[in-house]
Amino acid sequence: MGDRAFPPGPFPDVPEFFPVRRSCRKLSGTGRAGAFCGRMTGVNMRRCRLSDGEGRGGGLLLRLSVFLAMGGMALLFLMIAAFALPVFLHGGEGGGPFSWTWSPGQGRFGILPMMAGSLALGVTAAVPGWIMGLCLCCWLLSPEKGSRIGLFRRLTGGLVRVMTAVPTVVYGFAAVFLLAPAIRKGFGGSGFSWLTASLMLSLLILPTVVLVLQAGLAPRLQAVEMPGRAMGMSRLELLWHVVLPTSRGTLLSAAVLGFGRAVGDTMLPLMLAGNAPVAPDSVLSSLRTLTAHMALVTSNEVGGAAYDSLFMAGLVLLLVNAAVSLCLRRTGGGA
Amino acid sequence: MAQAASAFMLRARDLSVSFFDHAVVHEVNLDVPRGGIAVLVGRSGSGKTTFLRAVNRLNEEVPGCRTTGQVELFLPGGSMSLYPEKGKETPALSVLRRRVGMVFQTPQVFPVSVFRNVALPLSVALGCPRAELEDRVKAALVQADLWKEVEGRLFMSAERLSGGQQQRLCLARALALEPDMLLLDEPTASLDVRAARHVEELLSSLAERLPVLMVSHSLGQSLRLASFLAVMEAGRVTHALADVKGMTEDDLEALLGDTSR
Repeated sequence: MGDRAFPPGPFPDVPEFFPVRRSCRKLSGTGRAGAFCGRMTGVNMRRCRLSDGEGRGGGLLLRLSVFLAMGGMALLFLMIAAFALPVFLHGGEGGGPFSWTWSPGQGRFGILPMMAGSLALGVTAAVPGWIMGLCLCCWLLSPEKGSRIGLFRRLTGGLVRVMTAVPTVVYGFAAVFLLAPAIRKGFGGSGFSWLTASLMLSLLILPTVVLVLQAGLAPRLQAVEMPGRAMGMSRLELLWHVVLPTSRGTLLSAAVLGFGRAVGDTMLPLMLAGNAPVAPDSVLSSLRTLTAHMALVTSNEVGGAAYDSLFMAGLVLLLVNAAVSLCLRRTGGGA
Repeated sequence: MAQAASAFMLRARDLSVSFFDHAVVHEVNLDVPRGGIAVLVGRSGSGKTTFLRAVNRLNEEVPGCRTTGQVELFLPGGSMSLYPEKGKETPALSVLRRRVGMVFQTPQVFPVSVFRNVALPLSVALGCPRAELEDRVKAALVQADLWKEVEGRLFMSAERLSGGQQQRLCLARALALEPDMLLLDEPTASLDVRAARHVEELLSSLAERLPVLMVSHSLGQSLRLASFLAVMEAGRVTHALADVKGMTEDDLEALLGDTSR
């Protein structure tokens, strides 16, 4: 957005390499490479040879890191699957992992309530988060005075970017002291409930949704901006009537990514949802998600049947996330 | 006084436009007479397009733009001054842009159906009632000589039309709003010769009832269409010709390049 539509003209009285370095420095991402190019115009053999060597080492480094990352992921999947498979095949007494009762004292290790909790929380966080994100994104993209993006919009845009980097435990901590008491006073109950967690989670996924939407919608808006404005249509009207109806892929991937993030988050449900291992029956009741369940059980037990069922929970989470990214690939291809 | 004013399509007074303090149009004073097609010619970067966009204030959509001076348009129902000045009212942007239609260099259709491309501005910018939409879309497509070609596929994506058809669709979209003036920014630059001729014929018939201001960098086209011709160079109008009869492309070429040689 900050780039200028009209680059300054050529610099007739400046040495040849100067515009190169100038323009390179503007592209912040490639700033270093650009500066390096500038220096390369001088005949400096030692530097050239050094960069050749760096190139070869770089290739090796790339391959090594790809290998490590892929190997790590493969091992993770293998291990989880290997541990989960016996549980899946033999089960425990009382119905195995796919039953509705979690009662380690009686040897019952059902994780279905937690799966229901994850699904419920994921959906109720993704829907309001997606709607808020869409509204926020449309507002950010449609300044009234075309040429100038107002201070308020710029601040909000910056804030959304900062929000992506806030650790979730900070959200959780703030909500324990601010949101939970408010819910307790307003609606009764303990305040640690489905509602509390879903409100905070929708806030958590908001920046993800906004950034995905912005990345997808901004270029499409730009393509129709000039003719649309020339006919007296506002940016918001263009977004609503032209851009949104033709960007179903972007809208869907923002929703799916938001849902994936909401299902995968551990800290907020752990701190805010109450963690009762039963399926929720109202928005004010307590629930436990798969992620929170894994964190709770791992911190209390080592080994044993309870531990085994966690691998099942882990496998379910992995599969959900794999499905989410597969979904994204599909919509990404269609968009 | 009123009669003298209506002899013009537009008058620019000391018009300067700059982007981030880089001046693109320098203090242009230009009176464009009414009637026929007024053509601005000049080399790339001479400021033609920026001048054109000053007439519907579209430059203001680009960051870093600063415009000084005044442009006065003479439209049915009186003249209007576009830029703020003491004691004069400026029209609202949405009103100005509805009354002054524009077609761009590359066909910029919306990625929706052919029908919706024309109907959307009608219903959104003009508030046209739903019942009238169909008739007005058809009328606009007939005016742009596109109706016969798209009659059976109105609900096909406009992006699947050919370049020439897309450009005529853009023209139809602009005409649907029933503008009082038409701005054209090299409307045939991205078309092949036959499609370009088709659009040119269309424009000359349109110009009989609608003031048209057009930017062109094709000298042949300028001479074919222009009833008034202004030559721009480095942000200034260097020549204004009220009559181009008998001129050849070489004459015009000489006017374009006489300072660079």
